[in-house]
Amino acid sequence: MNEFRYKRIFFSQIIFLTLLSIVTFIFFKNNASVFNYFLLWTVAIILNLYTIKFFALPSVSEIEETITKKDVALNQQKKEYELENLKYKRLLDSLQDPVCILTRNLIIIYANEAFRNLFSYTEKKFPAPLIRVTRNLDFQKFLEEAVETNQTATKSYFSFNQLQDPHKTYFDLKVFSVENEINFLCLLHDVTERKMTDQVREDFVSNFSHEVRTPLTILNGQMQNLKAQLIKEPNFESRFGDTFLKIENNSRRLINLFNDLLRLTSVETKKDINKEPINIEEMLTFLAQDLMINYPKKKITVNIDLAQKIFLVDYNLFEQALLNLIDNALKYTRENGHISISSFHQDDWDHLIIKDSGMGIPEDQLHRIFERFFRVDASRSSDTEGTGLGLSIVKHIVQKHDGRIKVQSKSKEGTTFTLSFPSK
Amino acid sequence: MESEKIVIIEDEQEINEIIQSQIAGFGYTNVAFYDGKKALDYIQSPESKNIQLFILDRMLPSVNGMEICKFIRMYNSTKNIPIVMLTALSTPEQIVEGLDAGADDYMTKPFDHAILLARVRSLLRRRQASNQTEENKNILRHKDLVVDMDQCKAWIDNVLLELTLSEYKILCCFLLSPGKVLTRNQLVEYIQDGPVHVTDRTIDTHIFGLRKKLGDYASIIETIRGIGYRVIGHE
Repeated sequence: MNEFRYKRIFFSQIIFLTLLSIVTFIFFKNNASVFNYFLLWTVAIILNLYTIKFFALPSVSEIEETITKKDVALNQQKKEYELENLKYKRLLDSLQDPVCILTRNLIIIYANEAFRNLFSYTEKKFPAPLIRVTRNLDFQKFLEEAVETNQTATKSYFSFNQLQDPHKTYFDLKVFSVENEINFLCLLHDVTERKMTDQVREDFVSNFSHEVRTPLTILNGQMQNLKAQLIKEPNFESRFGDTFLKIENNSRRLINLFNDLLRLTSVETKKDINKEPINIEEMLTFLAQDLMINYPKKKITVNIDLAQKIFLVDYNLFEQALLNLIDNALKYTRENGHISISSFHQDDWDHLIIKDSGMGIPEDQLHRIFERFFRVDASRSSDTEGTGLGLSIVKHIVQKHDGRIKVQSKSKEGTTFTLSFPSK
Repeated sequence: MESEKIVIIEDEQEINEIIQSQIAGFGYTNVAFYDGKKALDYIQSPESKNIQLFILDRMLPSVNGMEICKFIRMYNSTKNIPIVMLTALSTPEQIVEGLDAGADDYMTKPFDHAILLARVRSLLRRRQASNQTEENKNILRHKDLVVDMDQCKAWIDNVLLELTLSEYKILCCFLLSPGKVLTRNQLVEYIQDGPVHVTDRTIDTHIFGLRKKLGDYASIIETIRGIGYRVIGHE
């Protein structure tokens, strides 16, 4: 519409200027007076203004028409917006997971039905301050921190206390900013079922282990009572010695297997690890001394040379990983062999290297050593005691720390394990 | 005079009977319970005099072992009696929980009965020693390691040890309870003094230092991974 008007103004001005040029030419040719000259200009300007008014400016009816059209468009947009809004609200209301939108000042401007039900908040009026909906301090603190940092914040297995939530539901919380960081969306994803499944798995291993431990204790006790009575018999060693040794060894094997299974489950299911700066020199010295006692005949030299002594790890888990690796190194290193343990820091990572001069691992089996119950070739397994779970436990411990584990080995030359942990 | 007793509280009949038969030669009267409630009633009854040791299973019907352990530690006439806790719950956290509740030692099932008997003997020795009139109650000994609590000094073979205050306190704590498993929490509570904040890891560092200074005697301090430490008892 505007373009059309501009064109009309343009053409009218061309006509006007052409006419003015002709009149001026005639005027000068006939030597007219200055008064007439000014009169001509005044008439020309007035005529031009009228031309612009008639040709270019919209009429009242045109203006009214435009306003009506804009109103219609605006109303249309409003309706579309409301529809869209309703759609999202219906979508959010239909969600079984509680959702709310809140401002930077922790004022809830929208909460879906699940959210209102969770907190038994019957009023549908929003905005409402968060404190009126829930007084759970942990929840409030989590939201405050998320809003303050302006970053997506998450929390796993959050539960409200028994009074606030009698069904004891577990949630994964997520808060992130929407609309240019003015408002924040808070999602509470119900993970009770997952939590229960984990719990059932944990309970199963724990109960199963308990149920097996009791008869094993009885078997062991009876065996030891029997041994105590038979030991007085002549030729006990030649008649029963081997039998009792086999029973004792296998009983111990079974116990170790259950202990390792429990350890593995406990590492796998551990949600939060307690990372702290640990001086690994003390830990390694203790461990090496303690474990060497189990291999008195081997006379293995353990050399500890650490360039990086402080590691950011969970004390108990890290100790368990080192225990398994050093015990393996001692187990598979021959008499008078040596083990070297070193460490260094590089690019925000702390690396620990445990190198032995043992029998090594064949290259074709190297990729399988972290599998559960995998033991390098059967003949070796029968010679050396072990459950085949030790390295699997180590791998899980390293993964819990967001770390990496690498193994290099050459048959009959030795094995090197490199454990890398983030230093921040 | 009423005979000295060992109370065995274990719901598995076979295990209870095996323990009874194995400690029969110790010269004590065995009192066996298969149920937590009955054991608790007995402890509060007048017949419960002269108990020397409790062997207590953690998972029991009616009242569990943890509750009984806490009760024994609270009840005036039993609070100093040693407790060996038997448990099928073997994670370090569960064991620490048992020790913090008041147990002196623990055995995870399936246990070696010879080791159980050795631990029982060790705790009974400690009990007998504490029953006797203590002439030199401020002198602690472990073979040639001597600690004089009046002078706050320690010697090995008459050679004075240069210990820090925390190391000295830890050493005293160990020698006051030979054979008893001490969790890191218990050691922290023992040495915590003044505004200095002591953590689990500080304990490990003190023990590291103490072991170095003890030289050949370092091996008397046994590390119990994930749980704490124990000084191996001696005859």
